[in-house]
Amino acid sequence: MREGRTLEQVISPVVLWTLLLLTLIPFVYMLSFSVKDLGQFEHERWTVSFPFHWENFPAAFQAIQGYVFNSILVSAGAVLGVLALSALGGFAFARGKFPFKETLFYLVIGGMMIPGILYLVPKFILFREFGLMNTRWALWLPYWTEGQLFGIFLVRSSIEALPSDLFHAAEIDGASVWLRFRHVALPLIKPILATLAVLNVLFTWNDIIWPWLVLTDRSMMTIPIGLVCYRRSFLDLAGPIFSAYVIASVPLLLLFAATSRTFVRGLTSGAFKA
Amino acid sequence: MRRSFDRAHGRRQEHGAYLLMLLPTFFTLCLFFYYPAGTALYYSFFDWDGENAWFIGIQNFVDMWFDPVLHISLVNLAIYVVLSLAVGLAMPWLGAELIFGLRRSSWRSFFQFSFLVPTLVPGIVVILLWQFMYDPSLGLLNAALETLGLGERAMLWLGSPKTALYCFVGIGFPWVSGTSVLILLSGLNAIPTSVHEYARLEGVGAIRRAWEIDFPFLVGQIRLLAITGCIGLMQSFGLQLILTLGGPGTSTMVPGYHMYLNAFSYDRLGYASALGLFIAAIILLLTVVTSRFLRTEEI
Repeated sequence: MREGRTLEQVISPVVLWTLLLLTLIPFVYMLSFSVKDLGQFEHERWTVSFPFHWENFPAAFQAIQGYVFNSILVSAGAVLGVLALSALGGFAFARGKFPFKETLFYLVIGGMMIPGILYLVPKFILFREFGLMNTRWALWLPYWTEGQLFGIFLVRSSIEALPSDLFHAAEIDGASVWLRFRHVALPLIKPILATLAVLNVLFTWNDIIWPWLVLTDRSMMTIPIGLVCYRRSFLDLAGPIFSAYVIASVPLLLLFAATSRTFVRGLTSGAFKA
Repeated sequence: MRRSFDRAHGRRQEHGAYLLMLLPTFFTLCLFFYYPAGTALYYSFFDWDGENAWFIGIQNFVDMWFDPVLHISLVNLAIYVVLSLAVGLAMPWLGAELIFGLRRSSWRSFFQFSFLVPTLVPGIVVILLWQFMYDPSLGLLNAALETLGLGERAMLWLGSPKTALYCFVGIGFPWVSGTSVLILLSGLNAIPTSVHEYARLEGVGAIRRAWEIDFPFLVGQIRLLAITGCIGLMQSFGLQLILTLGGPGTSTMVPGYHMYLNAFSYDRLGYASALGLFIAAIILLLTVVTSRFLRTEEI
């Protein structure tokens, strides 16, 4: 279709490969260090060294398995709650006709606009007064509260985009509000909910500041906080630290491998949370 | 008569059902969002240690005006946000343009997915890996300088007040974030092919094409990335918590971390609330300005 190779078409792949290699350098070294022992780390740091010390992995796993478990539990609980709240709330705002509907919706929109840093300190005091420090509720409750805002917004607009005849037909057949939600709306918004789930997994999995404040007990820590503690338990850098980084990266990579299409949709929809 | 009564009754029942569905939303929203947000506004005018509070009017805001650490924090934040946004928008744009220009779709998806790897690794791992890269005695950067015969240029990186803040910006080099690339690529793909075909026939070069043709089409995407990036960067102090504690000296201090210290180290919770309000106000203001500045018809 196009004639010859322009300069641009020769240079582009070269630049892209360079950028990609530079991007991956830290991760390549992470893999390389994860199978080195102290001697290899000291003397053959920047090259591949044999034998590989796979025993770093069981050692690191032993130390951080609790954090991985906590993170999975926290993210799973957060996502389930956000999906439930968003689906119910979004449906009610999309299909319901009740007094003060738009006024109430402003509370949701307003929540999306208000930067979290405004109420970080009082939020912490509130959870401390409730005696929820070092519990999973201290993570789930704020994650539900904040995660549902964008969720309701997203679900509302996608249900409003559905033909309303669907709901009228169900209404004439005598389906209650709940049945219309359960059997008409819910099956149709599944892709949106999947997208929302990915977005929330990414956020809760990576959240640093809030868990840092409310989790001080090692047995409750999630991966980000736990890894920092694990890193600090070594005086110097060593193989198991990097094995721990690798292990901590696995769950999200697996999730991506299993749901790459949904995952990519979730990533890009995140940008629309403006 | 009877029929209309039933209808009205039914509708009222439906109101009830919908409101019931919204109950958990408003319960959580009021208790864990609007209540603490209101508290933050309220205690901005108090001297508050977490238990006792004394009304002091606008004294917290007066204190802010004369707080040298806050001034340094604001300058640091401005440098950090501007530089991070500049590279965080320019590099993904470059990546997206280059990927878009590839002929084979298999290579396009290969690069698209490869640049996602850093996104899939937990953010904390990326931060800790860069902490290692910057490590003065063990890290890659000084080792590379040594190998290139520039050993005398070796630096303390995060340990020096001159370089620490720029090391924060450097995290994630070369900044071709997979997510941003995906978003910009979707924008490029939405440009009608005839536009690019015409530019090619007219002999418009790649750089001029990117700037004069693609940019206007991408304004929506760039604006969204700029706003979300700005909101995120201005509030976060995770790097300070993990890497520098705001130091060395005050070289990586930012308002968010200043707030954190006032709240949790100095027990000045009222002042911290006022700082939170101040930062939130700046963010809202910047969001509005950015939206106006990069205005588009449709997102």
